[in-house]
Amino acid sequence: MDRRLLESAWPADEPPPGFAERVVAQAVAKKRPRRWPAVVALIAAAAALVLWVALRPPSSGSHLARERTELSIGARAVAVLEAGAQIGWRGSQVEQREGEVFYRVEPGGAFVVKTPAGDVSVLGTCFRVRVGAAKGTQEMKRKDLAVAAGSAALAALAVVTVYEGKVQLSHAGERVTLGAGESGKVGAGGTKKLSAGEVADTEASLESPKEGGALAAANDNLSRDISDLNKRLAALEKEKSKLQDQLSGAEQELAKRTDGGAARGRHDFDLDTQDWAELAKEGTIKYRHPCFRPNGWKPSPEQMQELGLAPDDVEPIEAAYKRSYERLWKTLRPLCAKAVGNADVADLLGPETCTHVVVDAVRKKDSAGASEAMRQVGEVRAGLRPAPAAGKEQHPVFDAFYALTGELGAFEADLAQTFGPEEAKRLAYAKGMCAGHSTFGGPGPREK
Amino acid sequence: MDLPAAAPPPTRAGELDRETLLRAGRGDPLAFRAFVVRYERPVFALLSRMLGRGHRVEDLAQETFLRAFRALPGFDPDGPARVSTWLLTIATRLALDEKKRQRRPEPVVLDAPAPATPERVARQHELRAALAQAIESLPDDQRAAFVLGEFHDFSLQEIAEALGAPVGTIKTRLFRARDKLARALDEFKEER
Repeated sequence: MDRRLLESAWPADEPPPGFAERVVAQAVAKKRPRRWPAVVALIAAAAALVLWVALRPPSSGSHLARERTELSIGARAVAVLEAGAQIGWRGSQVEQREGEVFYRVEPGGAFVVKTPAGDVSVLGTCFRVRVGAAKGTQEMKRKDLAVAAGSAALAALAVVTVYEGKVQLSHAGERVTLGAGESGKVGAGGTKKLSAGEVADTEASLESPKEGGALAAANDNLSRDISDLNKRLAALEKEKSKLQDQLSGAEQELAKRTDGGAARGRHDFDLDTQDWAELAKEGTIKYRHPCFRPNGWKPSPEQMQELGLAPDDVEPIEAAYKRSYERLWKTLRPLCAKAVGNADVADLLGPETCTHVVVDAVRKKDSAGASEAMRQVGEVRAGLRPAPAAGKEQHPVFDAFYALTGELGAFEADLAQTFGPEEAKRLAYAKGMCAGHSTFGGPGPREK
Repeated sequence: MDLPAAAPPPTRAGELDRETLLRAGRGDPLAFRAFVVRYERPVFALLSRMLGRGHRVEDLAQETFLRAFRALPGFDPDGPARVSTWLLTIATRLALDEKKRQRRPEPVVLDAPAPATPERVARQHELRAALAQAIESLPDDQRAAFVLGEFHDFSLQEIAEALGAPVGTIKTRLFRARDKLARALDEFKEER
């Protein structure tokens, strides 16, 4: 299709001026805790005070992050440590030895981050501090452990980026103040504001925590362990992939045999009358069924997103699962109760186990009848035999399998009431939906 | 200046560079602004073609970026998905949710720049009318597949993932949408 022509005839909206700034402001604002109306806040404060006394974050501590970690620093600061970062804190004073840490500090007095390179003082803001050794100084540090503290201070460099509020960098009496959106550095060379270009260059010139420091040895061991585990996982994945390929090959081969090689283009358990005609010859029963959940199955928000559904769609899906359970259990429960001699036991077993119990029990008593029932189910589904009249008593194996092989269709029809037929079909066979699959091998063709 | 020890993977054509993306994921407002500036036009284009121009487009564009901001820390810039595909998938789903909420579909407003001659005015008017009719008649799922494929260069697989439907279904939706719109455009071409 001619894109230019289409675009000229179907123009789109352009972003209005200042859109990016508005979005960024919203994003940053949404990260801040909301201010409650005063009355509610007063009531909540009384309750919160009691909780705070019991649950307040420790006023001192230290942490060495092996992965991104969020920590509460006292009552009014949160720090997000990147892997390799190390901090210790007491009250409103933090010592950041190395690594990269993002801080959010609520207003309420001085808050100081001390680094080997210099101090960062704040009054309610959010900012990021990255501490590292300037490249080229690492060897000196390792050789001269006796003066480690002094050399660390000389070699270390901290790069600070401010997102909100103001921050003051200080080193040896020299001070520089950074506002929102500004970056600066502090180290042996003093304190300095940095332009956007200089920030990238300066950060690139820092040794990462992984490259040196006390953390390196511990991290190396951990990395080796993870690397070994990853290798084993990769080998297992490879094996799994190989098995899946073999399985897929076998399924394709089976498909060729059963439908003359035509590509299915649909779910393996989405059977048409031709499929059923083939299965009926052997009396094989195959079906997909919605998960058996008495109260319905509720997809998680992540699953809803994967399924491409809106949050409002959870309720009809959950209800459809509940109705599916009720429909099946209405048929299976009396059959199961008869097979085990007790309805309470049937309730304990549930639909899945009950299906096997019914089939096994009947097969033991009436093998020929059960086999014939299985063939008949296939034939009805293939359209080779009329469906039984509602309410007319059938062989128990027929009743069980007829209900089970028809349930996904009933579930799909139920979903179609809300989602329409095309979407219902997609959902009924979607990977993200909770479903089970069963295949009962057939007894073979009828004896002539 | 010292160079980093290992060169980062190259930036994908047309996409925001990896470093800025990572910084945006860490909550850096300046990097996030660069992210918004880079992708705001395709997001507005997609939403306005899905929902009709002016109708809630800015609100939903804003919501798209805010969701992306929350989800960016989990996005792997070295993974198989392009960031534009990922972002436009968020926008598509929001647009489809919005359409579901609407009781009546909003009419598509097509207002191409005014042509120079009276003859062209008449032809453009006819084209817009024909296209508007064809677009209005597209079901939401066909329109989404068409907009993603034709305007945003999504592959069949990417459209399938964005809309949560099998590739076969997408092929059908695209075929039907193209068929309807191509017929409207053909009439226009014949007249030119």
